[in-house]
Amino acid sequence: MSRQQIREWIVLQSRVARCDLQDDTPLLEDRLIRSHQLVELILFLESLRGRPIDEACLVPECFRDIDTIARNFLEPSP
Amino acid sequence: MTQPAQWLERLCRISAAQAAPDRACAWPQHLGPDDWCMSPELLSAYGTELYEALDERQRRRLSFFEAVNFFSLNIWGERQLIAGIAPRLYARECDAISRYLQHFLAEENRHMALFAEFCGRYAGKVYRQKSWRAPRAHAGGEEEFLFFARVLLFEEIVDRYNVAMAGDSRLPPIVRHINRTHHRDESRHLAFGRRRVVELFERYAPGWSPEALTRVREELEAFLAASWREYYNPEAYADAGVSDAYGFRQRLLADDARQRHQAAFSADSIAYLRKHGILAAEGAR
Repeated sequence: MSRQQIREWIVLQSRVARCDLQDDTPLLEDRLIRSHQLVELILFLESLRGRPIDEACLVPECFRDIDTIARNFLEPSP
Repeated sequence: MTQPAQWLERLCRISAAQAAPDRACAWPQHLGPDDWCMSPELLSAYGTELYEALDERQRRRLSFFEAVNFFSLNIWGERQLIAGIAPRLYARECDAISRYLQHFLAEENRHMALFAEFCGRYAGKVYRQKSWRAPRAHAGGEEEFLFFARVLLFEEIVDRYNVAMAGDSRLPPIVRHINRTHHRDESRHLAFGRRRVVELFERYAPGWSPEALTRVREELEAFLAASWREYYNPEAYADAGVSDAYGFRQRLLADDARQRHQAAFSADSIAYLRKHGILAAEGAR
């Protein structure tokens, strides 16, 4: 599981050019990810990490960009 | 206070009469994964090769957990609805409809209690809500319109399922009762919602830019598609014993049979929105 998989998913869903998507590109602010796509993103992340995402994390701050998503959902807790 | 229209008065009278305590229901001691709780034709895998590959016991398990998912979706949908309706009560722009909104709230609350009782009693859980909305700027009246339009689209799908299951003698009486009760109240909510959505669109859309109108239309179409996708819950598939629940979901979503089912169940809602110019005519953009 990696940032690369998240990046590929976002490119596929938003049709943003791969070269325009950096790890710090604001996803919600730039509307690359819309509200109706959030469930799909959450299910995709849950399938990558193999466990559910806590409801408390379903806030815009946790989905700001690829860096934030990877840090919050894919990297093991310290 | 602005006087409500006659049709709203009528909805209030019916709601008041329906609230009479004749709606007690008998909860059976046990229902579980060995019981059909959702009509087979309404299962999210129905009509696909994946469904054909399931044996009778697996189909029954899927039916039970998809019923729990359906009721869970209703709980979250109605919770959002209640959260949206409450601040509109007696607000100036909702003055004329506030008396009816109070019935609406009471009925939605009763439905949530029924759905939650089923989920808690027989499955020991309600599936988690995963949908939420990222904040964004709106044109004047856009948020108000979208709120009621989303509610309408969500409830119209639900109502089709309720009608089918309320009359399905293969299902336990309690499941039919819940679906029948919900449909009985929702038929008024839908009558209200259809009028409200058209009224708000006619009031606000003339002030929207072409870009805002396009955005509203795209959002409604995207919301409808997203609402359907919530019927395909990998947690329910995993509970039903499906291995690779996420892959199972993705294969179902891509299946033409499922697309046809969704199109058939949404056709009436889409035709209504097109008739009133809310969605663009077919093929037009």
